[in-house]
Parts: sequence; C-alpha cells; structure tokens
Amino acid sequence: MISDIALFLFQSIVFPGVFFIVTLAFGSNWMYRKIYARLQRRVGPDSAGKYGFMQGFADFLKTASKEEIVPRSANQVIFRVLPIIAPVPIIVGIFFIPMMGLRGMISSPGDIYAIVFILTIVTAIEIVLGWSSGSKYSLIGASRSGMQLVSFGIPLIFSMLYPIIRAGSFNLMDIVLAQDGTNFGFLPRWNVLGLGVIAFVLFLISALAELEKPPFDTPEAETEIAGGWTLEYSGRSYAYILLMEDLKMVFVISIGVVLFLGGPLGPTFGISGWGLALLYFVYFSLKYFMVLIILTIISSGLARLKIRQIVFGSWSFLTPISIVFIILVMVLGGV
Amino acid sequence: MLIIELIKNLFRRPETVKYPYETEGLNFPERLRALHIIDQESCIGCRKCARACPAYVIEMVPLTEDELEARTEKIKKKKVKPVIDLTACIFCGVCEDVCPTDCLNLTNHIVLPSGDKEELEVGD
Amino acid sequence: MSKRDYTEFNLGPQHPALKEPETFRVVVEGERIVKAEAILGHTHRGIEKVAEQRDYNKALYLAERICGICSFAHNANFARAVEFVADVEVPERAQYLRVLVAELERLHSHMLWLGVLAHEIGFDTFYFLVWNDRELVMDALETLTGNRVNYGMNDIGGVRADLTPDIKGLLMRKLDELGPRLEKIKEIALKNKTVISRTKGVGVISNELARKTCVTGPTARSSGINWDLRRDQPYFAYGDLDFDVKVSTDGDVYSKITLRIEELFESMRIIQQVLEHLPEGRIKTDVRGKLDGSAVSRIEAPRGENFHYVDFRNSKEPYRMKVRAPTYANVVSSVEVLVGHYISDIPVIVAANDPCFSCTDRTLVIDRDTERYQILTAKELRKLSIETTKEEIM
Ligand code: SF4
Ligand code: SF4
Repeated sequence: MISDIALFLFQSIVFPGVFFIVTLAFGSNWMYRKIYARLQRRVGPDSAGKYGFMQGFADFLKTASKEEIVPRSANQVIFRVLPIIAPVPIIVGIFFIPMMGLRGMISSPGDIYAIVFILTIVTAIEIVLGWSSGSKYSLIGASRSGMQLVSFGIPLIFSMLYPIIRAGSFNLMDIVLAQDGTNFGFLPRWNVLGLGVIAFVLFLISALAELEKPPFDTPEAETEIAGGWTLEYSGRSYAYILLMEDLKMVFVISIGVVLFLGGPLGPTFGISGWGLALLYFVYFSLKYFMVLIILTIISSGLARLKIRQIVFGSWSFLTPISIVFIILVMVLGGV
Repeated sequence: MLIIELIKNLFRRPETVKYPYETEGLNFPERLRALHIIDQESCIGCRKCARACPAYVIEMVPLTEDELEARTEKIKKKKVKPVIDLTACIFCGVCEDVCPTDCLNLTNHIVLPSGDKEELEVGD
Repeated sequence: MSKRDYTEFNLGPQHPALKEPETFRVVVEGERIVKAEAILGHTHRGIEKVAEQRDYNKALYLAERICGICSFAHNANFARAVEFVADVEVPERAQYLRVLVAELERLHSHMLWLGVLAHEIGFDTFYFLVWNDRELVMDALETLTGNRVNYGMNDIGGVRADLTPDIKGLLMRKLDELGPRLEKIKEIALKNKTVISRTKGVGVISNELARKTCVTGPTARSSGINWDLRRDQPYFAYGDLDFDVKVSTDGDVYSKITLRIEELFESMRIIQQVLEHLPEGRIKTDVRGKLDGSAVSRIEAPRGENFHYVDFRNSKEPYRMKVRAPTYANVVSSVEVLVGHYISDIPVIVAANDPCFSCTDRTLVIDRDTERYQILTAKELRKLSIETTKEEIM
C-alpha cells in the first residue's frame, strides 16, 4: 500500500513525471532550435551546457529572474495568475501518453476526449492571456489564435479519428495495441504505413498550426504584431509561457507518435520488466525526434501565411479532405 | 529545390565563425583600416594628419621634458606629437594618406574593444 | 459603422519589422487597414548643416555616413557634385573603379533587401541563406576598399585605392562563386508557394500612382516607368558599358523581387565588363583650394535616384548642401497603397521599397481623409509642436 503510494509519487513527480517532462520540453526546444539553425547554416544554441543543451533551462531561469512588468491596462488578476497555471493542463495531458509502457500514467476509456479537450483549453488559455494584457497587438494576436483554433480544430480531430476507428476504442493503450504486429512479416502495422498516411499529413499540418510554428506562426508574427499574445508578458510570467510552448510541443508530437507511429512499440527481443520499459522509451524517443525533425524541416522551408489565407486554406482544402477521408474510412470499415 | 538544399545544409558545416574564440575563415585583407600605429621616432610633428582628419580626433600634444631630451637627430625640431582618440575615429585612413614620413599607419588589427578609455588613445 | 469598430495603433517607432525608427499610424477595422499615415523624422541628424562647417575633403566622409547601405552612392555623388564645381576631369580608370564599387554595392544592397523581405514574411531560412551568400560580396568589397560598410573609396577628383592584379583575381573568384548561388536564390525566391502567396498582387503601385508620387529606382521600374539614370544620363563609365534596364509592369511586391533579382545579374555583367576592360592610367586628379559655384549631381543608387546639391561661395566649406535620398520619394507611395490591405501586409509593403529612413530626414504629413500630403514649413511645424505639447500637458 505504502509502496504503491510512494511509487505513484515517484512516478508523477520525478520519473516520468513533472521533472522528466519539463526536461523533455526543454530538450525539444533545444533540438528544434538546433536543427532550425543548422538548416539555415547557423550554429544555434551552443553556449549553455554541452552543445548548448541547457539552453532551454538557461532561457527559463534567466527570464524568470527578470523584472515582471504589469501594464496598467491589463486585467490585473488574470494577467498575474493565468501564466503560472497555464502549463498545468498540458502536463496533465502528457500523463496520458504511453511513453514507458503500453499504458500512460493516467489511463481511462476516454483518453482521446481528454486530449482533445486539453488541446482546446490550451488555445483558450492563449486567447485569454492575449486578451487580458490589454494591448492592441496582443488582442490581434489572440484573435488570430482563436481563428486558427476554429480553422484547424476539425482537421485535427478528424485526423485523430482514423486511429480511433481502426482500434475501435478511445483508449490510447488500445490504439497502441492495435498497431502491434506486422503486415507481410516485415512492415509494422503502424497507422502511418497505409491509408493512415493521409491522416498523418493532416495531423502534421494541424500540429504545426497548434504549435504556432512557421508557416502558422501568425498569432505571434514578430514582424507584424511584435509577438502577438505574448507581447506584454515579462519576467516570471513569460518564463511560464515559454515553458508552456515547449510543453505543448512535447504534447502534440507525442500524440502524433502514439496515434500514427505505434507509440512505444518496436521489436522487444524477449526483454521484460524494467529493461522493456527502457526499450519502449528508446523507441518512443526515436520516433518522437523523427517527427520533430520532420516538423522543423517543414516549418523552415515556408514563409508565414496570412490569417486570411490560413482560414481560407483550412476551410476549403483541409476540412473537406479530412471529412471525405473519414467518410471513406468509415465506409471501408476501418481498413 | 529548397527542400534538397535544406537537407544538404543539415549535414554541412555551419558558416558561423565563433569570433572571438576562433578566427579561422575570417577575412582580414591587407587594406583593412583598423588600429593605428604611430612611430613616434620618425614622426616630425608636422600636424598634417591633425589638419586633415575629418573627425577631428587627432590631438597634437606637446612633448614632455623627457621626450624632448630623447629626440634623435632626424626629428630634432619636433615639439608636438599626434595622439589619436580611437573612440571617435571613423577609420577613414586619411591621416595615413597625408603623412609625409609614413610613420602613421593603419593596420588590419581589428580587436579594439576595451574597458579602459586610455587604451584607445594611440600615440601615447 | 460606429466609431468603436476601428482600432488605431502605431507601428513603430520601435517595432521588430522596422529596422530603423519611423512610425506608421494605421487605423484598422478587424485586420483591414482603412487609414495609414507615415510619421518620419525620428533619425534627423542634421548632416546637411554639419557639412557646412567642414571643407569638402572632410564633408566627403560625412556624406558617406548619410546611409549605411548605399554609402558609396552618397559619397560618390557628393564627390561628383564637387568635381562639377571644381571643373576637373576625373581619370578614366577612376571612373571605372567607381562603377565597380557602385555595382558591388548594388549587389549587396539588393541581396540585403531580399533577406529583409524574407524576414518580414516570416521566411527566416531564406533570409539566412541570402545573407550568407551576401558575405561573398562584402568580402570582395572589404578586400578592394578596406572596409565593409563605409568604403572610403572616393576622393574629390578620383578614387583612393587601386585595383591590383591580386585583388582582381580575388574578385573574379568571388563572382564565379556568386553566380551559381544567385541562380539558386532566384529559383527559391520565385518558386516558393508561400512567397508567391504573400507577395503576388500585394501592394500594387499602379503606373499613375507611381507617376503621381514620383517614385524612383526599382520601385518605379517595377511599375512600368522605364527610367534608369545609368542608361538615360550616363555618369562615371556607364556610357561605355553594355547592360539592360529591366522593367516590369505589375507593380506588386513579387514583381519587385523579380526585378531586383534580374538587376543582380545585370550588375554581375557590369562588374565582369569593368574587370575586363579596366583602362590603365592615373586614378586621381588633385583638387585644391577654394571653390566657387554650385552644382547638382544625380546618380542611380541601389534604391533609386540620389540627388546631391552643393553650393560653394568662394570657400572650401560648402555654403549649402542638399541631399534627397530615394526613400524620401518612395515612402509616400507605400503609404498610399497600404489602405485596403491587411495588417500582415504592412511590413511587406513597407519593406518592398527598400526603405532607408536614416537617409530620409524631414517631416511629412499625409492626411488620408482629404487625400492631401504636405511638407510642413518651419512655421507650421512650430505651431503643430506647440499644439501637441499643449494637448499633452492638458
Ligand atoms: S582614420 Fe581616424 S584618425 Fe585617421 S584621419 Fe580618419 S578619423 Fe582621423
Ligand atoms: S604622424 Fe605624420 S602627419 Fe602626423 S604629425 Fe607625424 S609626421 Fe606629421
């Protein structure tokens, strides 16, 4: 009994809990920036720690130690409090992801519901953050953020429907297990290998929009609205917003890995116990970083789109394609 | 195609030179106009450089007793010496052009930052 | 529509999109711009006045510092104006060397512009790729003249540094390397879907508007005005060289990209010709003593027509010096076309003219409602400043 509680506490706080997740978030931030820089023939972060690996921590600590300025026109309570609790929903969301084993730290029959809910909540938080800072740039940024949510919500959810239909369950463990085994003896039965590749592409595009990375960094567009909804935040609040963005990256990419790339699955070589957990984690990270690299390359090769073009493109191409695709899948009976 | 270029870039060496930790790959041509050197032994104190300087940063300072003693035969009429304030110099190189004795030269040594203003006075 | 549907905000004087301090006051309805106004003059440095206290040899270096990017254009233009007054013949070799530096400067300026535009539309990868290639030109300039930015190449009556065989070889090598890279840049810039979607049909300056607002340089040529001082009033050695003037009629930002990239290739051609046909001889004629008289000199800077006027009244110091930088002519047109576009287009349209606000240092008020722009006189300015101060106090 006591050992159970101790194990749970250890899991939720140290490994694979909050500390680990935050490390992963900063690691992803470093990786994104490093690859982005290398694609542009720059060096990228290289001073903090070996190869600049500690850059995320350094940014967080440095920003957090700066003076916090609250504009007079801001909503005093929301402006101060919301940034601090903003990363929480995402951390909870990451608890659902099966990284170390086939089951996440939290698991329920309706995992996907929770995940979609959290994805929406995060954007809602961004909108409120922008709105409460009482600056015109932030307001424009927040409204753009809202428009992106409206535009990419449907393709995102419909692309997630494909694995659900295939597994016949909303539980992430079932979805992972449905991708176990191989076709023709060598091809893993991941969702991405097959018809699911369309869903995966839809998911990647929507994920970029959700992460607000180029070409969908319109809500933060530095050269247009000077940082959008993050503009007025400084000091500790901004540090938490940075953390939230990094966590969001971990969360969204992990969802993609679990839904389309078979999550932690891979050849097990008959290992079991802790060794297996470690092996699962290695597979998971490999897939995770692969998706991260793909996203980085996509986002570095494109210019920022206008919000009108985003809304138009989403409603006239992505949404119809995703709807047609899902109807097709349903008719074919979940191939 | 951009995408091919990008993937090639991923495996290329970055172009960044981490100056000042490394200087390999940087371009320091002969003609670069940077730190001045003044050979006070051969300067005759003719004031031409001070008159020509577009930024008015060359000051002709009277020689001290010791320096007056130490004058060689070549410069025995010299009473003042040029001192250049690099903080306001625009590195145009006019002073080098007008100097009749070739004692004032601009080198290609570009590392000038200093915490001490005195260090940026050339000629003393 | 009630008044509350409009939001008014300032872009600048400090804004990430604008590299220099200037303000664009825009009124938006949603994201649509209904009114725009440019407020310039944040970087007034009084260079013209300062020049009156320096003799022409020193004012030359002051003229170089009017602009950081087209410094050679200002410097050479001032030198040319003074040469007119002094009535000296500049040696042919010096003329060719001036063309060489001017065209190298055009190369680096246009590449800088491409990078800046890419940054404004959020395409940072292209920005870094272009600026990386631009370093080749900067290195060439540094080796030839002795500095990356303020070349200090001109003297009244000639140039200060000669082209040695060593440097000629190096320039050749750099140009050979630059050629294929430019091809690559051209392909990326003109074929990328997002670049097209952000720039095509955006900020169209029609031929009439271009004529009305007197735009110059690539901005004018992209709106169908076939005017290039290099060809139409040849100066330096341009008369002997063979090159084309590119003209486009679309007037949008995309056509400006195309046009400037084509000008890059033309500049390469000119440089090649200069390196091949460089005449022998002296590089400088001496100019000494007091001057009397006035002269105007106009040359085609990378951004457009550059105008210098000097007036000497039996003195070494100019009695009056007057500069008109190309941005001053071009900024009006970009403010005109802002209306009807969206917030995302502001940086693109403003950057499309390659504005250089340090060159442009007067006050200009544009009133969108009455379609009237005026340059304030000293009296009006004073009145305006008193009124504003009063308002602020109350
Ligand atoms: S290089 Fe400096 S000291 Fe020499 S003339 Fe120019 S401004 Fe004066
Ligand atoms: S440095 Fe040259 S120009 Fe200046 S005072 Fe000495 S000799 Fe004359």
